[in-house]
Amino acid sequence: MRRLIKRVLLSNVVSFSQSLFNSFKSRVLGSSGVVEADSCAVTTLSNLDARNLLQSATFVLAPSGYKSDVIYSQVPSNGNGDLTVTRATSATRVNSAGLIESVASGVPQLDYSLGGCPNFLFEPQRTNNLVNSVLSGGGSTPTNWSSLISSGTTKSSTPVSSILNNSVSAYRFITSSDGRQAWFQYISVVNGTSYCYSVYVESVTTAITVDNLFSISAATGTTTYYVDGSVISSPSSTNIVSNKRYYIIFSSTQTTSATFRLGAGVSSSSASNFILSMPQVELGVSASAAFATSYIPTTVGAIATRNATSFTRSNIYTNGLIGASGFTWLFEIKNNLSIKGDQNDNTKFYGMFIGNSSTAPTSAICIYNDNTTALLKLGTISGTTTTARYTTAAASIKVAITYDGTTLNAWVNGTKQISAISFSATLSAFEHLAAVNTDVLKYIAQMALWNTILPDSQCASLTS
Amino acid sequence: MARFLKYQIPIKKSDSLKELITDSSAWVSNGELLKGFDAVDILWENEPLPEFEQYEVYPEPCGVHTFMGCEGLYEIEYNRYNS
Repeated sequence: MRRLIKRVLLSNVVSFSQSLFNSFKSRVLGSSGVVEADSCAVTTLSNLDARNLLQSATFVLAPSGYKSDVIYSQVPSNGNGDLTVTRATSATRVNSAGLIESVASGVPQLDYSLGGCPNFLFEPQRTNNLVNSVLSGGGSTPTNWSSLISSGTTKSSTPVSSILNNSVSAYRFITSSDGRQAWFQYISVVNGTSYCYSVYVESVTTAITVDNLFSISAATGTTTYYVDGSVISSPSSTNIVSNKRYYIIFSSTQTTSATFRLGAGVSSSSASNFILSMPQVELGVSASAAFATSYIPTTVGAIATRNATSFTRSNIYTNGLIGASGFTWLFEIKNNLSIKGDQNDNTKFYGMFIGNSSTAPTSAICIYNDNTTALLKLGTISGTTTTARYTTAAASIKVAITYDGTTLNAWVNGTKQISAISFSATLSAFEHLAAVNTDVLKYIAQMALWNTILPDSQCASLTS
Repeated sequence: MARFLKYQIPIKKSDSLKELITDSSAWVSNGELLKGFDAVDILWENEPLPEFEQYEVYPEPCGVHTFMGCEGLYEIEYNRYNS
């Protein structure tokens, strides 16, 4: 009997992590916010609790709660850790069902595109330079698109409902082995500038090779094919598969217009049966800085721009999120793809930081990219000088930084990479946690602060 | 409140005018649609800078470029100008 009572009591015990999340959820819903991915957030909290680091944390953010202009933190519970989010345009995200949907101006993109638990997505400003990427207009060729070629015994392109996005049209392409069916748009390109041309493949019954799916006119420079972020080394022998985003990154070597081709058999005749949707052409800043960002719908006759997303959290010293004796800052960032940043203006800082200003810090600890190297950098800002202290090509990193006002340490993916570097700053001036001029800090998976210096062993464990 | 305005800026003045923008307002160049002029769309975070006023143009909404979900902001400017 006693054993039974004990079992019942244990089963009714709510963990601290769950209890904390329940309070968080009530707070978010009570302020008309949205809560998603409950179990993911509880797992993140539990991982901290298992190391006895949850109750001592002064700030914890597990991607879950949000509303327009706000990302909610689980800790503290009074709102002093909530992030203020800015994006003046609408955007799209991949939702929990794997569908691409629109989010309104200022609404954070809680994005599930990496699979599993969601991340908050932060992207730079981008323009989709293709008109009518929603493929409206009907017929065998949508409005604003031209027929490149249509030949063979069987060849058709027919509008169908998109499987991945309820707000756009898609097209099913069918060709026989001697058939080709493809469209194109002309886009003015700039010599020495990089571009990313992407398209979604939704439903493949008969596959063609990637190099036969889409291409840019031969007068452009070297092209590299990707699928969902991974390089396709042999596009001429790799078949397309369903529900993937394919893209080409290339540096233009011409100054006029390039032909952006799309369809079945852009290179040669081939049997096919598949659906295409949501084409996009994005302009990079430097010669090799283009990459695919979230889909930007464009309608007939007009291209469209999605603004950058930034966030700020002020008064972190005043409110005790960092302490007079220092702090430990944990964050996890995913999918940086080892690409160069967009930065083309050395007078501005691009990245995420804890420092003395929410927009232009002159004293800060930061993580950033620049446009000179394909690396993510941990660094410091002093005056107008940003100094890299550690660089990595890793596409997914967990970082723990400790700083006491004079000495900086950092662990990356379990290994101490910055050891006792001298960097002096006034801790009480470090009032701001922010990401500005958003670069390629793409997916934030978690973030936390302690107002103390955690032991080395815990920093290593947290980032493993 | 954000404002969405369109401009034809002399190419030789384009860079210097762009440097005047210090907040998070979004600048998008649509190229040389008129010879010698840069067709620029700006989504102003705050009130537009007065230096830009002389270059404002008002094509029918929304012209060749828009900011996602902000078509209504330009239509307000267009209707105000034409009223």
